Amino acid sequence: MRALIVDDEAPARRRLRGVLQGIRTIRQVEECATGRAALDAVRRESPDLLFLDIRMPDLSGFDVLERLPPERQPAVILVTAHEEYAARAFAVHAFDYLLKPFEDERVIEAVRRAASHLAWLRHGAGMIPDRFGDVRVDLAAQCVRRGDAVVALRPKEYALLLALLRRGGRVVTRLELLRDVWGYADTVESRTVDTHVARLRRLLEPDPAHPRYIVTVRPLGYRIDL
Amino acid sequence: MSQRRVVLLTFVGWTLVAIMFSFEAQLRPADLDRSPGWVHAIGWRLAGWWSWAAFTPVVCWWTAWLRRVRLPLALTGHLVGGAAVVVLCAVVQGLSRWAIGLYHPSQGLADGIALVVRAYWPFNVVVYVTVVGLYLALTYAREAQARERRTARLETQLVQARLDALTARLQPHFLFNTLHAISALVAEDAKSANKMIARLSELLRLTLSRTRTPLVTLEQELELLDHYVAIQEVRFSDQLRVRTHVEPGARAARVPTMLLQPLVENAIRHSIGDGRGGDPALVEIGGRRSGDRLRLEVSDNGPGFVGTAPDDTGGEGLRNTRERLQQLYGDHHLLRLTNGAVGGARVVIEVPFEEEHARADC
Repeated sequence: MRALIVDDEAPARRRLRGVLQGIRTIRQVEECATGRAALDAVRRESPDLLFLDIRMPDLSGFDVLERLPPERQPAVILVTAHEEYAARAFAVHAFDYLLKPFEDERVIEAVRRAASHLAWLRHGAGMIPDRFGDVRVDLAAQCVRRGDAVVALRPKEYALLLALLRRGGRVVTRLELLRDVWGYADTVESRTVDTHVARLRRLLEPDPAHPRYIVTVRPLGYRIDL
Repeated sequence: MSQRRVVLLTFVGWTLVAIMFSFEAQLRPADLDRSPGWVHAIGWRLAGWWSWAAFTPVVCWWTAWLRRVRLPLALTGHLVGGAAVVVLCAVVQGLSRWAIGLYHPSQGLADGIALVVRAYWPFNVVVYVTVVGLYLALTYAREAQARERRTARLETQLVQARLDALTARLQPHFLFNTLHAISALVAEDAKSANKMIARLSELLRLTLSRTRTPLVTLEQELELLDHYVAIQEVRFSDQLRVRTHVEPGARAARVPTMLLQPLVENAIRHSIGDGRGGDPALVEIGGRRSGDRLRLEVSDNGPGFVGTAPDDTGGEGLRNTRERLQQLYGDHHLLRLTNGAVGGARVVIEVPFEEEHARADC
């Protein structure tokens, strides 16, 4: 994979480069110090992963996201010291959100998940992933199996599982889930999602107290690790 | 409490006392001077205690007035005023009982009233002292309560002001970005990482210690700024140059604490990466004495103020600076935002030149 780092601070770029160069699947790492340079580099290099700072002098990370050419959409991982932008980041479909300063493992994990997300995007051709862990989903029969046993899901639980799978490992906010599964308006706050997720975990996770596949992304929503 | 409510409470209070005494007079054994009937018992006591109801506001007003004078004079005031009230109240008590037909002095009205005064003054003295005591107790309790509320409110305001000051001065993202830069240096240059940690610690120490100090010397302000700038120069590497030209004679001047840091932060943020064909951002800090004024200046080579208000953080920082200057100097200060002759933004501040020792005498 090719990665592009966009940050106006040289030490911050070097920090990320240091981690990325140690990841076997990453072949090439480029750097830019401004949003405009980043847009040029995306058009020129078509990177797979875009590590994007939010507060930059010319264009903000969100401006860059808006102007990305539609035919060259990398997996965008926002990297920032501001945690208050998380909601907006996932609303514009950023793949992940790294808070500075971070640990190496957090970057490595983000790259691993982004790689499987990209693989799904490219090879699954938009198909809904139908397996994670020992869970298999028969989309035609709307039937969920764990190992050999059929798991009895209620209709909303099945719809919720599908809504998570459809994103191919990307974060889904509670509001998106409420809208997709329950048809709520954008502004309705509800714990409904949480209670249904808790039941899905009880039925599908090996250890529901420490979920491995249906992961909470605080404070916004959930994702399925494929 | 409204005045009408106080009058009503006083009236009800004395009426209850009158009824209580009526019961006592009516229910006592016949050979212990029992009243000749309920109407007499109640009428007699109501006439007596309602007289006190009428005099209570006078006693309270007099007590309130005497609180303003020194103790010997207040005691004398109570002696004289108390004697007048005790006698006058007894006169009113006698006259009212006579008027409603319960008192029939055999020796004529004047002598009858004199007899009432002679008989009642010791009891009326006790009532006078009780009214004064009750009034003072209630007043002190109310004042203590109000004082407590005021103290609590002031403390809350002070804590809030300190918190506001701290958060307004050092933005959390500055701290996290700096830690991130240190994290990069740890792997590649441990010595520089240590230097940066020392700078950041010093900056935090100075910021925290100054939340209680509204004024510092310009020298101290520049010391803090030096740590801040050193950190920013590492973060932005070769993209940033900061120059300071402050006359030695100006350094002893007193300035509001953290006056320059938000201005320098704004200048850096708006001039970094402004597309000057690879030229670094240049931020200049100036300070000089001009007669009885101190003139400070922060300028940069960024795009300048381009018709719109500075964005959120800059706007907040400037508003905070403006408010503090207004609070400290009233109309005797100047804060001007202009564009420099050859581009870039320029912020000029002028305040009265006051040296450390001049204020220390105040």
